[in-house]
Amino acid sequence: MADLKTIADEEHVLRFVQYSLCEKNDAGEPIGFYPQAFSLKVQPDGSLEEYLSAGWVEYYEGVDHPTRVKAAIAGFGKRERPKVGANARFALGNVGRIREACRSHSQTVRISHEPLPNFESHASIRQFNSASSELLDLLAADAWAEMHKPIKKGGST
Amino acid sequence: MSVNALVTPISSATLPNFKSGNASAATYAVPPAKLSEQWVQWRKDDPGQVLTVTRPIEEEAVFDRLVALKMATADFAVHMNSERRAGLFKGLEGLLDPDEWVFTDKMPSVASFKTLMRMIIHNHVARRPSLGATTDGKIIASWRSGEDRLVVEAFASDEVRWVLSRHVDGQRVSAAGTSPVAFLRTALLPYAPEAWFG
Repeated sequence: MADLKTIADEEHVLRFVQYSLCEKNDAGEPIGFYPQAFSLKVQPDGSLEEYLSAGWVEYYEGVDHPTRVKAAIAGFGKRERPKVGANARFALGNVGRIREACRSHSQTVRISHEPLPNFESHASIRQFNSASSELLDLLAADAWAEMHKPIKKGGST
Repeated sequence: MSVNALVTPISSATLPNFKSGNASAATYAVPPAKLSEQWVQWRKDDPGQVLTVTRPIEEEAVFDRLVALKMATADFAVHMNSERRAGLFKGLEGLLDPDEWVFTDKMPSVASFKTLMRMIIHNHVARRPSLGATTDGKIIASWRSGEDRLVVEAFASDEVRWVLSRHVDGQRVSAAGTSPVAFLRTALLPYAPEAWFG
């Protein structure tokens, strides 16, 4: 594992949420995130992911917050998978609130900048146990719930 | 009685598409994204007529599953009116839209979907759910009432995992559990499930 830089409480992380893990209204438009969007995935070999993946918003320096969020969303586009559909969304969360939500379920998570090839702003949430449905629901509905659209071709969200 | 009176009107939207005789996409062991097959599809603008379309194999597999899930609703047809069925189909079509579906995910299983259907019928759920799917093939359904939400994950074995949040006097209350489908409403009684189920 590369050296990890702990991300401060006042900073933000962004998680990709595919359409199948978005709550929709009757018109099919995303209106929220399902708890399962924050669950560790089962790998092909049957093991669980080691950590929750996200993008670190403040990795992008020297610009205002909305511009950083857009840059962080664009940062996801360099990965090979998963594809980002037009109805997929990104969940933005404050790191301090995410840590607090996890603490309320007796978990001390480690949220760090952990760059990957083609995903320099990648952040990891380690020591995270996704077995508690109530914790996942708290993240999805409250602590990690700010919804952002993907960037369309041409640059707008 | 005229001949026309004997003909039952059929909406093309309710008709399944079908293949032109090639092997099922499910028989391919590799994900050959570049391959394609010819399909025959009902014309929506001209009922009774068909057209031939080409779909990549991955999309065909998703389409096959969509058809399988729609066909599974036939087992419950006596419990659903056409409006309810149309709403459910719309939700499934959105969920398995090839433009959105992540092809590395396991597609929602028919068994999981049937569990959801039995849950809806046994618990007299009147309101249409939002539909989703876990990455390992389980159907998710949710109902919202203001800020309050119930999320149900359907296992293949007539059991559901549920998690809910309610807001009482500004306080968020949450609960979670698992339940056989037949007893879900009873399990949720302390949280007034009529807010979600109607």
